[in-house]
Amino acid sequence: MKSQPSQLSSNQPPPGPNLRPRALWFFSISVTIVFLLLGVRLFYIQILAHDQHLSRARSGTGRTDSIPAYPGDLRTSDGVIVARSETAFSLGLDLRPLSEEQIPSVVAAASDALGYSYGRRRERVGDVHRRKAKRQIYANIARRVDGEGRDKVRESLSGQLEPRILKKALVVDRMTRRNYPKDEFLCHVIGVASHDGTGQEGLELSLSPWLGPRSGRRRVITDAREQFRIYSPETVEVAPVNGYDVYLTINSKAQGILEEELQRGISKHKAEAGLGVLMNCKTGSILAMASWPVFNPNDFHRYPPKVLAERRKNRVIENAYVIGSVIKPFIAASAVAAGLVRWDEKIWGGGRFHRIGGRRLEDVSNHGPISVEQAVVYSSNIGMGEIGMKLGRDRMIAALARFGFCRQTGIRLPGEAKGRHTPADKWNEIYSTTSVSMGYEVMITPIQLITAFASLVNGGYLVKPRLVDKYVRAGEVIRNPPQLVGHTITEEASGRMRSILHKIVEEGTGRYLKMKEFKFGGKTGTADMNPLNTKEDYLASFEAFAPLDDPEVVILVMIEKPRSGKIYGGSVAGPVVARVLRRYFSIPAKPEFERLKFKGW
Amino acid sequence: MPLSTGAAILSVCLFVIGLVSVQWEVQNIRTGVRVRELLRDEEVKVENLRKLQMEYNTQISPDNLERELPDVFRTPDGFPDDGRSAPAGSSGGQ
Repeated sequence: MKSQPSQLSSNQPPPGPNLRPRALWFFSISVTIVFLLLGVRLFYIQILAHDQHLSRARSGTGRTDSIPAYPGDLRTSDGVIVARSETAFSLGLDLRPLSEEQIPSVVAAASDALGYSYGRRRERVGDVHRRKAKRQIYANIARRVDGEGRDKVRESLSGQLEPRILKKALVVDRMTRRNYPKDEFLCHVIGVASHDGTGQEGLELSLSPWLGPRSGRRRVITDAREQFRIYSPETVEVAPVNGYDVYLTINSKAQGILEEELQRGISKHKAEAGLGVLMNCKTGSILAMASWPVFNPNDFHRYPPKVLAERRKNRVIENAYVIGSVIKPFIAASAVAAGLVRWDEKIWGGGRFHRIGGRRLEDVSNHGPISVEQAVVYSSNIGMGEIGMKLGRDRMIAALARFGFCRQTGIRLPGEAKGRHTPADKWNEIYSTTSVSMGYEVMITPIQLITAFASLVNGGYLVKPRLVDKYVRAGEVIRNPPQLVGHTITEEASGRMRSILHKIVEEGTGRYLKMKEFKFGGKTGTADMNPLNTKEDYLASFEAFAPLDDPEVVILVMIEKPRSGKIYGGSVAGPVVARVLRRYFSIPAKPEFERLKFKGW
Repeated sequence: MPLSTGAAILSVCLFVIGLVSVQWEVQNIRTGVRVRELLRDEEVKVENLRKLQMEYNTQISPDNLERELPDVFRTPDGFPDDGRSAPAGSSGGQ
């Protein structure tokens, strides 16, 4: 047992201060503490402050790219695209890497690539120079250019700048641009969307919740210079959603015909303005709606304000007119429905002049003794005055309300006017009653008039006018069905009204519009637009339905202030209606000639 | 097994894991770049398709076809109901 300690002692280091084990121990303790501290720090970084450090790391190496989504299209019922968004680019210059000497040549090259005029090019150069002098870091060159324009600018600048500087200096931002491929076509209905895509007018405004897209977002990893991006399908954070494609009730062929014929009628009669609307009388679907003068939505912001104010107005919706004689069928039908008169009842004994309670009424010509029906057919002011007096104030106001006059129809367009009539407390029993019977002292919008007229010929069903047929997105279809809002007259009264309106075209005020091959009915109207009755500014109107046996469409054309000498609805607006109906129903203008021509085929 | 052998095997394993990780990262980047290119291609193609659709659609739109109809199919200027004063002289109101 004694020898053992000696063996051990022989292996031990020579005697001296015993520091090594203590140093090792101290070293290992220190290392352990350091690692413990590192572990704690690591725990703090990885666990406690994980989110904070992750976001810092991501902000350094990544960025969010937007995934483009397109606003919905506007299409006619036959599928024609009338408004669509396309990708565009905003081009600008980061002025920091550019010297003052480089700016004129760079901006001039970009302007030339974009096809700017000399003046505009000079303006751009001056603007960029000023910005550089003020030490601003960015100058815009062009907004909403297409991909081709962007590539042209890039190519032309590559001749001016080194690739490294060009990459820094040319700033390209992606955006969408609303395009109206058919220019003025249907412009008042479509309206216009502003540069940032929000609707400003027409359906672009009222349908913006449907048309609007929801862009997607994607995280991408980049290097420090943001030149290298890594995409991955897994990094999509928000999927893009396109807007709904909206299919309108508008028929493009009918719209084209109405616009063309309306413009022709207006220029022929040197009129100031005009409007037309074609509607399916059973469903309330608007097949065509035109207003003149027109604007081009693609150049909406280039019109002077005064010109634009006149052109942008959708007269069918926004204007309320004193409509004149086109109201007469409604008043007569209301009096008959109330049991106050019969259609065949004699209402006037004959003559051109007549006094009702001190008011002198005048007809254009003497028709001899006339019945209620003939008062409508010949558009007799005296006959209608008498019918109106039988109806009286309260029933007349109720009749206007029943036909939906002086009340918004609820059509899906912004800025719809309401119209108005003389209020009951200011109503003159003689003057107001006889005036309203002839279409004065009451202001009605064309859309109210055509809607009410449809009910007169479709069996008495007042339908809501509708412009949108359906909303479509990725297989999802949301329909906008026709809507019945009231009853105006009985089926029987409606049948009688159709035959009366046909007589107007056969033998009444619209007899020169008669077509051998095609039966239809309608009512003429001519109103003095000036409240002082200056007999200078007239509104010529014609409302019609077709075909006679089973009405399918109703049409209204109004032409404001014709200056060619002719002023009557039957002469100015009537031919436009007849032409539109001929073309819409494809009725040949010269059937014999065509038969001869195609005999040999 | 001696400690040195174990350390050598561990080193080789770590090296292989490192290589695989780097390779995996490189592959990831390549895939990302390819995805980027494909997405760009898709966007360009979608944009071109939308433009072509619009052009085609405008060309075949019924109102354009109607406008381009031969004259024999259209209502000529000499349309008989055109321009005559209907109500004057023989009708009642306006």
